[in-house]
Amino acid sequence: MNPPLLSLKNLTVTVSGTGREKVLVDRIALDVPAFSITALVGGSGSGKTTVGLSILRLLPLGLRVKEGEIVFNQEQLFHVPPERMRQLRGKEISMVFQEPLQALNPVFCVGYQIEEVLRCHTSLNRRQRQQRILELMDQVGLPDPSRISRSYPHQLSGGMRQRVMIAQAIAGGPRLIIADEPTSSLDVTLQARIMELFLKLKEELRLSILLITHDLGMVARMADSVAVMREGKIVEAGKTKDVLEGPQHPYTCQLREAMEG
Amino acid sequence: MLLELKNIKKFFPIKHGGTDKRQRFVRAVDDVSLDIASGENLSLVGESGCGKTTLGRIALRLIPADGGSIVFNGEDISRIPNRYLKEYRKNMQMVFQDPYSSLDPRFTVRHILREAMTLTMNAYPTEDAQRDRMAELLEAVGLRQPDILSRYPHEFSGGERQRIAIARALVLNPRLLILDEAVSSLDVIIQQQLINLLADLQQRYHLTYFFISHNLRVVKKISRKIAVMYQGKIVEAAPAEEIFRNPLHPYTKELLAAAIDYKAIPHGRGIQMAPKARLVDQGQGHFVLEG
Repeated sequence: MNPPLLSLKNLTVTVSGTGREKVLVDRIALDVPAFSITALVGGSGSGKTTVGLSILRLLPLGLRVKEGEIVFNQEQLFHVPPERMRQLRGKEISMVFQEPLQALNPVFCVGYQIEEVLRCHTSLNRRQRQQRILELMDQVGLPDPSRISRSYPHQLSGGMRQRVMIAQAIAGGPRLIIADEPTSSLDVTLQARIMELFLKLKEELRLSILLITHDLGMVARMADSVAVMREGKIVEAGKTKDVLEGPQHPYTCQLREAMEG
Repeated sequence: MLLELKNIKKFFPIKHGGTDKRQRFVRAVDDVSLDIASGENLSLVGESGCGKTTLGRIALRLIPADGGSIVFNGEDISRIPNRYLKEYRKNMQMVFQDPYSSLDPRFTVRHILREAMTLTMNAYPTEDAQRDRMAELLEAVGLRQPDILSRYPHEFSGGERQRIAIARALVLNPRLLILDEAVSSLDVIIQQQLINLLADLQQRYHLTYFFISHNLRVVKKISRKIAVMYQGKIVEAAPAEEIFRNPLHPYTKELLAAAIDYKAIPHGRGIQMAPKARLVDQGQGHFVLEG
Protein backbone atom coordinates (compact mmCIF):
# COMPACT_ATOMS: atom_id res chain seq x y z
CA MET A 1 0.00 0.00 0.00
CA ASN A 2 1.18 3.50 -0.78
CA PRO A 3 2.15 5.68 2.15
CA PRO A 4 -0.52 8.27 3.00
CA LEU A 5 -0.17 11.76 1.60
CA LEU A 6 -0.50 13.29 5.04
CA SER A 7 0.13 11.54 8.27
CA LEU A 8 -0.23 12.93 11.76
CA LYS A 9 1.40 10.96 14.54
CA ASN A 10 1.00 11.57 18.22
CA LEU A 11 0.17 15.22 17.54
CA THR A 12 -0.25 17.25 20.72
CA VAL A 13 -1.14 20.93 20.75
CA THR A 14 -1.15 22.96 23.94
CA VAL A 15 -2.07 26.46 24.91
CA SER A 16 -0.06 28.25 27.55
CA GLY A 17 -1.90 31.30 28.73
CA THR A 18 -1.96 32.39 32.31
CA GLY A 19 -0.73 29.66 34.61
CA ARG A 20 -0.44 26.11 33.48
CA GLU A 21 -0.55 24.51 30.08
CA LYS A 22 -3.80 23.19 28.72
CA VAL A 23 -3.92 20.38 26.18
CA LEU A 24 -6.16 21.17 23.18
CA VAL A 25 -5.20 18.28 20.94
CA ASP A 26 -4.14 15.15 22.72
CA ARG A 27 -1.81 12.73 20.93
CA ILE A 28 -3.91 12.19 17.86
CA ALA A 29 -2.99 10.06 14.86
CA LEU A 30 -4.62 10.58 11.49
CA ASP A 31 -3.80 9.54 7.93
CA VAL A 32 -5.06 11.19 4.78
CA PRO A 33 -4.45 8.80 1.87
CA ALA A 34 -3.80 10.25 -1.59
CA PHE A 35 -6.84 11.02 -3.77
CA SER A 36 -9.39 10.57 -1.02
CA ILE A 37 -11.56 12.60 1.28
CA THR A 38 -10.92 12.16 4.97
CA ALA A 39 -13.29 13.79 7.42
CA LEU A 40 -12.47 15.05 10.88
CA VAL A 41 -15.73 15.36 12.81
CA GLY A 42 -16.53 16.85 16.17
CA GLY A 43 -18.58 19.41 18.04
CA SER A 44 -17.49 22.98 18.55
CA GLY A 45 -14.48 23.19 20.81
CA SER A 46 -13.34 19.63 20.11
CA GLY A 47 -10.03 20.80 18.64
CA LYS A 48 -10.67 19.87 15.01
CA THR A 49 -9.85 23.32 13.61
CA THR A 50 -6.70 23.42 15.73
CA VAL A 51 -5.54 20.22 14.02
CA GLY A 52 -6.11 21.79 10.60
CA LEU A 53 -4.23 24.97 11.52
CA SER A 54 -1.31 23.09 13.04
CA ILE A 55 -0.70 21.24 9.76
CA LEU A 56 -0.09 24.53 7.96
CA ARG A 57 1.65 26.03 10.98
CA LEU A 58 -0.98 28.74 11.24
CA LEU A 59 -1.74 28.33 14.93
CA PRO A 60 -2.67 31.55 16.72
CA LEU A 61 -0.31 33.03 19.26
CA GLY A 62 -0.09 31.03 22.47
CA LEU A 63 -0.82 27.68 20.85
CA ARG A 64 2.04 25.38 19.97
CA VAL A 65 2.64 21.88 18.75
CA LYS A 66 4.19 20.33 21.80
CA GLU A 67 5.07 17.01 20.30
CA GLY A 68 4.27 14.69 17.46
CA GLU A 69 4.98 14.39 13.77
CA ILE A 70 3.32 15.90 10.74
CA VAL A 71 4.48 14.04 7.65
CA PHE A 72 3.37 15.37 4.27
CA ASN A 73 4.50 13.51 1.19
CA GLN A 74 7.30 11.91 3.22
CA GLU A 75 8.54 15.28 4.42
CA GLN A 76 8.63 16.15 8.11
CA LEU A 77 6.71 19.42 8.33
CA PHE A 78 7.56 19.94 11.95
CA HIS A 79 11.20 20.67 11.17
CA VAL A 80 11.09 22.48 7.85
CA PRO A 81 12.24 26.11 7.88
CA PRO A 82 9.69 28.93 7.47
CA GLU A 83 10.75 29.57 3.82
CA ARG A 84 9.91 26.00 2.85
CA MET A 85 6.62 26.27 4.74
CA ARG A 86 5.67 29.30 2.67
CA GLN A 87 6.36 27.32 -0.50
CA LEU A 88 4.15 24.51 0.70
CA ARG A 89 1.22 26.72 1.63
CA GLY A 90 -0.92 27.26 -1.42
CA LYS A 91 1.35 25.25 -3.69
CA GLU A 92 1.10 21.85 -2.02
CA ILE A 93 -1.44 22.29 0.77
CA SER A 94 -4.11 24.95 0.84
CA MET A 95 -6.95 25.79 3.13
CA VAL A 96 -10.57 26.80 2.71
CA PHE A 97 -11.85 28.61 5.76
CA GLN A 98 -15.30 28.67 7.32
CA GLU A 99 -16.07 32.36 7.05
CA PRO A 100 -15.25 33.62 3.56
CA LEU A 101 -16.04 37.19 4.51
CA GLN A 102 -13.39 37.12 7.19
CA ALA A 103 -10.86 35.17 5.19
CA LEU A 104 -10.98 37.38 2.09
CA ASN A 105 -9.41 40.81 2.13
CA PRO A 106 -12.16 43.46 1.88
CA VAL A 107 -10.02 46.09 0.15
CA PHE A 108 -8.90 44.04 -2.88
CA CYS A 109 -11.10 42.77 -5.67
CA VAL A 110 -11.38 38.99 -5.70
CA GLY A 111 -9.53 38.57 -9.00
CA TYR A 112 -6.49 40.22 -7.45
CA GLN A 113 -6.68 37.88 -4.47
CA ILE A 114 -6.74 34.81 -6.68
CA GLU A 115 -3.90 36.26 -8.74
CA GLU A 116 -1.79 36.63 -5.62
CA VAL A 117 -1.53 32.83 -5.38
CA LEU A 118 -0.47 32.62 -9.03
CA ARG A 119 2.14 35.35 -8.55
CA CYS A 120 3.68 33.56 -5.61
CA HIS A 121 3.65 30.03 -6.91
CA THR A 122 3.78 30.08 -10.70
CA SER A 123 5.97 31.67 -13.37
CA LEU A 124 3.04 32.87 -15.46
CA ASN A 125 3.27 36.37 -16.86
CA ARG A 126 0.62 38.98 -16.31
CA ARG A 127 -1.52 38.11 -19.31
CA GLN A 128 -1.31 34.38 -18.64
CA ARG A 129 -2.34 35.01 -15.05
CA GLN A 130 -5.39 36.98 -16.14
CA GLN A 131 -6.34 34.11 -18.43
CA ARG A 132 -5.80 31.58 -15.65
CA ILE A 133 -7.95 33.54 -13.15
CA LEU A 134 -10.88 33.40 -15.54
CA GLU A 135 -10.35 29.65 -16.07
CA LEU A 136 -10.22 29.03 -12.33
CA MET A 137 -13.37 31.06 -11.70
CA ASP A 138 -15.15 29.18 -14.42
CA GLN A 139 -13.98 25.88 -12.94
CA VAL A 140 -15.52 26.67 -9.53
CA GLY A 141 -18.80 27.66 -11.18
CA LEU A 142 -18.69 31.44 -10.84
CA PRO A 143 -20.85 33.02 -13.53
CA ASP A 144 -19.51 35.91 -15.63
CA PRO A 145 -15.87 35.63 -14.42
CA SER A 146 -14.59 38.81 -16.05
CA ARG A 147 -17.12 40.93 -14.11
CA ILE A 148 -16.85 39.06 -10.82
CA SER A 149 -13.05 39.12 -10.83
CA ARG A 150 -13.33 42.90 -10.52
CA SER A 151 -15.84 42.74 -7.65
CA TYR A 152 -15.02 43.14 -3.99
CA PRO A 153 -15.96 40.45 -1.44
CA HIS A 154 -18.82 42.48 0.05
CA GLN A 155 -20.48 42.69 -3.37
CA LEU A 156 -20.78 38.90 -3.63
CA SER A 157 -23.20 36.49 -1.99
CA GLY A 158 -22.03 33.95 0.60
CA GLY A 159 -21.98 31.10 -1.90
CA MET A 160 -19.99 33.12 -4.43
CA ARG A 161 -17.46 34.16 -1.80
CA GLN A 162 -16.95 30.54 -0.86
CA ARG A 163 -16.38 29.71 -4.54
CA VAL A 164 -13.78 32.48 -4.71
CA MET A 165 -12.00 30.95 -1.73
CA ILE A 166 -12.04 27.56 -3.43
CA ALA A 167 -10.65 29.09 -6.64
CA GLN A 168 -7.88 30.60 -4.54
CA ALA A 169 -7.25 27.26 -2.87
CA ILE A 170 -6.85 25.35 -6.14
CA ALA A 171 -4.92 28.09 -7.95
CA GLY A 172 -1.51 26.87 -6.84
CA GLY A 173 -2.28 23.30 -7.95
CA PRO A 174 -2.16 21.78 -4.47
CA ARG A 175 -2.32 18.08 -3.69
CA LEU A 176 -4.14 18.53 -0.39
CA ILE A 177 -6.93 20.90 0.57
CA ILE A 178 -7.87 21.40 4.19
CA ALA A 179 -11.51 22.46 4.18
CA ASP A 180 -12.47 23.81 7.59
CA GLU A 181 -16.28 23.84 7.86
CA PRO A 182 -16.48 25.05 4.26
CA THR A 183 -20.27 25.17 4.21
CA SER A 184 -21.29 26.02 7.77
CA SER A 185 -22.07 29.64 7.02
CA LEU A 186 -24.23 28.77 3.99
CA ASP A 187 -27.83 27.66 3.66
CA VAL A 188 -28.58 24.02 2.86
CA THR A 189 -29.11 24.37 -0.88
CA LEU A 190 -25.77 26.15 -1.22
CA GLN A 191 -24.14 23.61 1.07
CA ALA A 192 -25.20 20.86 -1.29
CA ARG A 193 -23.84 22.74 -4.30
CA ILE A 194 -20.50 23.46 -2.66
CA MET A 195 -20.17 19.78 -1.71
CA GLU A 196 -20.89 18.84 -5.30
CA LEU A 197 -18.16 21.26 -6.38
CA PHE A 198 -15.62 19.68 -4.02
CA LEU A 199 -16.44 16.21 -5.35
CA LYS A 200 -16.05 17.43 -8.93
CA LEU A 201 -12.74 19.16 -8.24
CA LYS A 202 -11.42 16.14 -6.40
CA GLU A 203 -11.87 14.04 -9.56
CA GLU A 204 -10.69 16.69 -12.02
CA LEU A 205 -7.61 17.72 -10.08
CA ARG A 206 -6.85 14.43 -8.31
CA LEU A 207 -7.02 16.15 -4.93
CA SER A 208 -6.98 14.86 -1.41
CA ILE A 209 -9.23 16.65 1.00
CA LEU A 210 -9.18 16.86 4.76
CA LEU A 211 -12.74 17.86 5.55
CA ILE A 212 -13.36 19.39 8.97
CA THR A 213 -17.03 19.44 9.92
CA HIS A 214 -19.60 18.80 12.63
CA ASP A 215 -22.15 17.41 10.23
CA LEU A 216 -22.25 13.64 9.84
CA GLY A 217 -24.64 13.94 6.90
CA MET A 218 -21.97 15.78 4.99
CA VAL A 219 -19.45 13.10 5.96
CA ALA A 220 -21.75 10.35 4.71
CA ARG A 221 -22.13 12.13 1.39
CA MET A 222 -18.47 12.96 0.80
CA ALA A 223 -15.85 11.21 2.88
CA ASP A 224 -14.08 7.91 2.29
CA SER A 225 -12.90 7.67 5.87
CA VAL A 226 -13.69 9.54 9.04
CA ALA A 227 -12.19 10.32 12.44
CA VAL A 228 -14.46 11.47 15.26
CA MET A 229 -12.90 13.93 17.65
CA ARG A 230 -14.00 14.94 21.10
CA GLU A 231 -12.24 17.09 23.67
CA GLY A 232 -8.94 16.88 21.82
CA LYS A 233 -8.94 13.12 21.35
CA ILE A 234 -9.92 10.93 18.45
CA VAL A 235 -12.55 8.61 19.89
CA GLU A 236 -13.38 6.62 16.77
CA ALA A 237 -11.97 6.29 13.28
CA GLY A 238 -12.45 4.10 10.25
CA LYS A 239 -14.08 3.78 6.86
CA THR A 240 -17.07 6.12 6.65
CA LYS A 241 -19.48 3.27 6.01
CA ASP A 242 -18.30 1.25 9.02
CA VAL A 243 -18.31 4.18 11.42
CA LEU A 244 -21.72 5.47 10.38
CA GLU A 245 -23.45 2.11 10.22
CA GLY A 246 -21.98 0.61 13.36
CA PRO A 247 -20.78 3.43 15.58
CA GLN A 248 -18.90 2.12 18.61
CA HIS A 249 -18.32 5.19 20.71
CA PRO A 250 -21.29 6.82 22.48
CA TYR A 251 -20.27 10.24 21.16
CA THR A 252 -20.50 9.02 17.57
CA CYS A 253 -23.96 7.63 18.35
CA GLN A 254 -24.94 11.01 19.78
CA LEU A 255 -23.75 12.80 16.64
CA ARG A 256 -25.71 10.38 14.52
CA GLU A 257 -28.88 10.81 16.54
CA ALA A 258 -28.55 14.57 16.23
CA MET A 259 -28.59 14.14 12.47
CA GLU A 260 -31.72 12.08 12.47
CA GLY A 261 -33.53 14.60 14.66
CA MET B 1 -55.70 32.22 15.29
CA LEU B 2 -52.89 33.66 17.37
CA LEU B 3 -51.17 35.42 14.48
CA GLU B 4 -52.52 36.06 11.01
CA LEU B 5 -50.45 37.68 8.32
CA LYS B 6 -52.63 38.76 5.41
CA ASN B 7 -51.29 39.72 1.98
CA ILE B 8 -48.07 41.12 3.41
CA LYS B 9 -45.92 42.99 0.92
CA LYS B 10 -42.50 44.52 1.32
CA PHE B 11 -40.58 46.02 -1.59
CA PHE B 12 -37.09 47.39 -1.14
CA PRO B 13 -35.94 50.08 -3.59
CA ILE B 14 -32.84 49.29 -5.62
CA LYS B 15 -30.36 52.09 -6.00
CA HIS B 16 -30.46 53.22 -9.56
CA GLY B 17 -27.68 54.80 -11.49
CA GLY B 18 -26.76 55.84 -15.00
CA THR B 19 -29.39 57.06 -17.38
CA ASP B 20 -32.20 54.81 -16.22
CA LYS B 21 -34.31 56.99 -13.97
CA ARG B 22 -37.07 54.49 -13.23
CA GLN B 23 -37.16 53.30 -9.63
CA ARG B 24 -36.92 49.51 -9.38
CA PHE B 25 -37.80 47.31 -6.42
CA VAL B 26 -36.87 43.95 -4.96
CA ARG B 27 -40.06 42.13 -4.07
CA ALA B 28 -38.69 40.77 -0.78
CA VAL B 29 -42.13 39.69 0.47
CA ASP B 30 -44.69 39.45 -2.26
CA ASP B 31 -48.29 39.05 -1.11
CA VAL B 32 -47.73 36.46 1.61
CA SER B 33 -50.47 35.17 3.92
CA LEU B 34 -49.81 32.87 6.88
CA ASP B 35 -51.75 31.79 9.98
CA ILE B 36 -50.41 30.48 13.24
CA ALA B 37 -52.87 28.93 15.67
CA SER B 38 -52.09 28.94 19.38
CA GLY B 39 -49.78 26.04 20.23
CA GLU B 40 -49.28 25.07 16.58
CA ASN B 41 -45.71 25.75 15.64
CA LEU B 42 -45.13 27.04 12.16
CA SER B 43 -41.81 26.90 10.35
CA LEU B 44 -40.96 29.17 7.49
CA VAL B 45 -38.24 27.58 5.40
CA GLY B 46 -36.27 28.90 2.45
CA GLU B 47 -32.81 29.81 1.17
CA SER B 48 -30.95 32.98 2.10
CA GLY B 49 -32.45 36.00 0.43
CA CYS B 50 -35.93 34.52 0.00
CA GLY B 51 -37.50 37.08 2.35
CA LYS B 52 -38.15 34.90 5.40
CA THR B 53 -36.32 37.13 7.89
CA THR B 54 -38.05 40.21 6.47
CA LEU B 55 -41.41 38.54 7.01
CA GLY B 56 -40.50 37.66 10.61
CA ARG B 57 -39.51 41.24 11.30
CA ILE B 58 -42.70 42.55 9.76
CA ALA B 59 -44.75 40.23 12.01
CA LEU B 60 -43.23 41.94 15.04
CA ARG B 61 -43.49 45.34 13.37
CA LEU B 62 -39.75 45.82 13.68
CA ILE B 63 -39.92 47.09 10.11
CA PRO B 64 -43.00 48.51 8.40
CA ALA B 65 -44.80 46.53 5.69
CA ASP B 66 -45.75 48.12 2.37
CA GLY B 67 -49.11 46.40 2.33
CA GLY B 68 -51.26 43.84 4.09
CA SER B 69 -52.26 43.44 7.69
CA ILE B 70 -50.96 41.77 10.84
CA VAL B 71 -53.64 40.40 13.13
CA PHE B 72 -52.48 39.28 16.57
CA ASN B 73 -54.98 37.51 18.78
CA GLY B 74 -57.91 38.88 16.77
CA GLU B 75 -56.71 42.47 16.71
CA ASP B 76 -55.22 44.26 13.72
CA ILE B 77 -51.89 45.66 14.91
CA SER B 78 -50.59 46.80 11.56
CA ARG B 79 -51.82 50.35 11.89
CA ILE B 80 -51.62 51.13 15.60
CA PRO B 81 -49.11 53.87 16.45
CA ASN B 82 -45.63 52.86 17.55
CA ARG B 83 -46.06 54.14 21.08
CA TYR B 84 -48.75 51.54 21.80
CA LEU B 85 -46.72 48.65 20.40
CA LYS B 86 -45.07 47.77 23.70
CA GLU B 87 -48.29 46.10 24.81
CA TYR B 88 -48.09 43.71 21.86
CA ARG B 89 -44.38 43.15 21.99
CA LYS B 90 -44.86 41.77 25.50
CA ASN B 91 -46.73 38.95 23.84
CA MET B 92 -44.45 38.37 20.88
CA GLN B 93 -40.71 38.14 21.25
CA MET B 94 -37.82 37.35 18.99
CA VAL B 95 -34.69 35.20 19.29
CA PHE B 96 -32.09 36.17 16.72
CA GLN B 97 -29.70 34.05 14.72
CA ASP B 98 -26.39 35.15 16.05
CA PRO B 99 -26.03 35.11 19.84
CA TYR B 100 -22.66 36.81 19.46
CA SER B 101 -24.25 40.01 18.26
CA SER B 102 -27.72 39.91 19.85
CA LEU B 103 -26.38 40.19 23.42
CA ASP B 104 -24.68 43.41 24.47
CA PRO B 105 -21.05 42.53 25.31
CA ARG B 106 -20.90 45.20 28.03
CA PHE B 107 -23.92 43.87 29.96
CA THR B 108 -23.87 41.11 32.53
CA VAL B 109 -26.57 38.45 32.34
CA ARG B 110 -28.34 40.21 35.22
CA HIS B 111 -28.30 43.47 33.29
CA ILE B 112 -29.54 41.78 30.09
CA LEU B 113 -32.50 40.18 31.87
CA ARG B 114 -33.31 43.23 33.96
CA GLU B 115 -33.43 45.43 30.89
CA ALA B 116 -36.08 43.15 29.42
CA MET B 117 -38.01 43.21 32.71
CA THR B 118 -38.11 46.96 33.06
CA LEU B 119 -39.29 47.61 29.51
CA THR B 120 -42.85 47.41 30.66
CA MET B 121 -43.32 49.11 33.96
CA ASN B 122 -44.69 47.25 36.96
CA ALA B 123 -44.12 43.76 35.58
CA TYR B 124 -41.49 43.10 38.25
CA PRO B 125 -41.57 46.10 40.60
CA THR B 126 -39.33 44.88 43.41
CA GLU B 127 -35.78 43.62 43.48
CA ASP B 128 -37.03 40.39 45.01
CA ALA B 129 -39.54 39.80 42.25
CA GLN B 130 -36.85 40.41 39.65
CA ARG B 131 -34.42 38.07 41.34
CA ASP B 132 -36.97 35.28 41.60
CA ARG B 133 -37.97 35.63 37.98
CA MET B 134 -34.33 35.55 36.82
CA ALA B 135 -33.64 32.43 38.85
CA GLU B 136 -36.73 30.73 37.47
CA LEU B 137 -35.90 31.54 33.86
CA LEU B 138 -32.26 30.53 34.07
CA GLU B 139 -33.30 27.24 35.59
CA ALA B 140 -35.90 26.77 32.85
CA VAL B 141 -33.33 27.25 30.07
CA GLY B 142 -30.88 24.93 31.80
CA LEU B 143 -28.22 27.39 32.95
CA ARG B 144 -27.32 26.39 36.46
CA GLN B 145 -23.90 27.84 37.26
CA PRO B 146 -24.17 29.74 40.58
CA ASP B 147 -22.43 32.96 39.56
CA ILE B 148 -24.13 33.18 36.19
CA LEU B 149 -25.89 36.52 36.73
CA SER B 150 -22.66 38.42 37.15
CA ARG B 151 -20.98 37.00 34.05
CA TYR B 152 -20.66 38.62 30.61
CA PRO B 153 -21.71 37.13 27.25
CA HIS B 154 -18.13 36.44 26.13
CA GLU B 155 -17.74 33.99 29.02
CA PHE B 156 -20.32 31.64 27.51
CA SER B 157 -20.28 29.21 24.60
CA GLY B 158 -22.56 29.75 21.59
CA GLY B 159 -25.18 27.32 22.88
CA GLU B 160 -25.22 28.93 26.33
CA ARG B 161 -25.56 32.39 24.82
CA GLN B 162 -28.53 31.26 22.80
CA ARG B 163 -30.08 29.99 26.06
CA ILE B 164 -29.56 33.44 27.57
CA ALA B 165 -31.24 35.00 24.54
CA ILE B 166 -34.18 32.62 24.98
CA ALA B 167 -34.42 33.46 28.69
CA ARG B 168 -34.48 37.15 27.80
CA ALA B 169 -37.25 36.59 25.27
CA LEU B 170 -39.31 34.75 27.91
CA VAL B 171 -39.04 37.39 30.63
CA LEU B 172 -42.44 38.96 30.02
CA ASN B 173 -44.29 35.68 29.44
CA PRO B 174 -44.90 36.08 25.72
CA ARG B 175 -47.35 33.90 23.85
CA LEU B 176 -45.47 33.83 20.57
CA LEU B 177 -41.76 33.42 20.04
CA ILE B 178 -40.23 34.16 16.65
CA LEU B 179 -36.98 32.23 16.28
CA ASP B 180 -35.00 33.53 13.34
CA GLU B 181 -32.39 30.85 12.51
CA ALA B 182 -31.98 30.49 16.25
CA VAL B 183 -29.95 27.29 16.06
CA SER B 184 -28.21 27.66 12.70
CA SER B 185 -24.87 28.87 14.00
CA LEU B 186 -24.48 25.97 16.42
CA ASP B 187 -23.11 22.46 15.96
CA VAL B 188 -25.52 19.56 15.48
CA ILE B 189 -25.47 18.28 19.06
CA ILE B 190 -26.11 21.72 20.54
CA GLN B 191 -28.84 22.21 17.92
CA GLN B 192 -30.57 19.08 19.10
CA GLN B 193 -30.26 20.09 22.76
CA LEU B 194 -31.81 23.47 22.04
CA ILE B 195 -34.67 21.97 20.04
CA ASN B 196 -35.40 19.66 22.98
CA LEU B 197 -35.22 22.63 25.34
CA LEU B 198 -37.68 24.56 23.20
CA ALA B 199 -40.08 21.61 23.25
CA ASP B 200 -39.90 21.57 27.08
CA LEU B 201 -40.41 25.32 27.33
CA GLN B 202 -43.43 25.09 25.08
CA GLN B 203 -45.08 22.67 27.52
CA ARG B 204 -44.15 24.69 30.53
CA TYR B 205 -45.08 28.17 29.33
CA HIS B 206 -47.73 27.40 26.67
CA LEU B 207 -45.73 29.03 23.94
CA THR B 208 -46.26 29.09 20.21
CA TYR B 209 -43.23 29.10 17.95
CA PHE B 210 -42.68 30.71 14.59
CA PHE B 211 -39.42 29.23 13.30
CA ILE B 212 -37.49 30.76 10.47
CA SER B 213 -34.85 28.45 9.06
CA HIS B 214 -33.09 27.31 5.91
CA ASN B 215 -32.87 23.73 7.06
CA LEU B 216 -35.91 21.45 6.93
CA ARG B 217 -34.17 18.76 8.94
CA VAL B 218 -33.65 21.06 11.93
CA VAL B 219 -37.30 22.13 12.17
CA LYS B 220 -38.78 18.71 11.40
CA LYS B 221 -39.19 17.61 14.98
CA ILE B 222 -40.75 20.73 16.41
CA SER B 223 -43.05 22.09 13.70
CA ARG B 224 -46.70 21.32 13.22
CA LYS B 225 -46.90 23.15 9.91
CA ILE B 226 -44.25 24.12 7.41
CA ALA B 227 -44.37 26.89 4.82
CA VAL B 228 -41.73 26.98 2.10
CA MET B 229 -40.75 30.40 0.80
CA TYR B 230 -38.96 31.17 -2.46
CA GLN B 231 -38.23 34.58 -3.94
CA GLY B 232 -40.70 36.38 -1.73
CA LYS B 233 -43.60 33.97 -2.18
CA ILE B 234 -44.91 30.96 -0.29
CA VAL B 235 -44.60 28.09 -2.77
CA GLU B 236 -45.90 25.30 -0.56
CA ALA B 237 -47.53 25.02 2.86
CA ALA B 238 -48.65 21.84 4.59
CA PRO B 239 -48.55 19.90 7.85
CA ALA B 240 -44.95 18.91 8.64
CA GLU B 241 -45.28 15.16 7.96
CA GLU B 242 -47.01 15.90 4.68
CA ILE B 243 -44.13 18.09 3.45
CA PHE B 244 -41.63 15.34 4.20
CA ARG B 245 -43.79 12.54 2.80
CA ASN B 246 -45.16 14.22 -0.26
CA PRO B 247 -43.32 17.37 -1.36
CA LEU B 248 -45.01 18.76 -4.46
CA HIS B 249 -43.29 21.98 -5.47
CA PRO B 250 -39.91 21.58 -7.23
CA TYR B 251 -38.30 24.02 -4.80
CA THR B 252 -39.46 22.02 -1.77
CA LYS B 253 -37.97 18.92 -3.37
CA GLU B 254 -34.70 20.76 -3.81
CA LEU B 255 -34.66 21.87 -0.16
CA LEU B 256 -35.39 18.34 1.01
CA ALA B 257 -32.68 16.83 -1.18
CA ALA B 258 -30.19 19.33 0.21
CA ALA B 259 -31.16 18.98 3.88
CA ILE B 260 -31.70 15.23 4.04
CA ASP B 261 -29.56 13.70 1.29
CA TYR B 262 -27.02 16.52 0.96
CA LYS B 263 -27.54 16.55 -2.78
CA ALA B 264 -27.99 19.45 -5.13
CA ILE B 265 -30.70 19.29 -7.77
CA PRO B 266 -29.57 21.19 -10.85
CA HIS B 267 -32.19 23.72 -11.88
CA GLY B 268 -30.31 25.72 -14.47
CA ARG B 269 -31.58 29.25 -14.16
CA GLY B 270 -33.69 28.65 -11.07
CA ILE B 271 -37.35 27.83 -10.77
CA GLN B 272 -39.71 29.89 -12.88
CA MET B 273 -42.79 31.33 -11.22
CA ALA B 274 -45.62 33.05 -12.99
CA PRO B 275 -46.33 36.53 -11.60
CA LYS B 276 -49.99 35.70 -11.04
CA ALA B 277 -49.41 32.27 -9.48
CA ARG B 278 -51.76 31.27 -6.65
CA LEU B 279 -51.65 28.75 -3.84
CA VAL B 280 -53.94 25.83 -4.72
CA ASP B 281 -55.44 23.49 -2.13
CA GLN B 282 -54.39 19.86 -2.65
CA GLY B 283 -56.43 18.55 0.29
CA GLN B 284 -55.33 17.73 3.85
CA GLY B 285 -54.21 21.31 4.41
CA HIS B 286 -51.60 20.99 1.67
CA PHE B 287 -51.22 24.11 -0.51
CA VAL B 288 -48.98 24.46 -3.54
CA LEU B 289 -48.22 27.45 -5.72
CA GLU B 290 -49.48 26.90 -9.24
CA GLY B 291 -49.88 29.16 -12.14
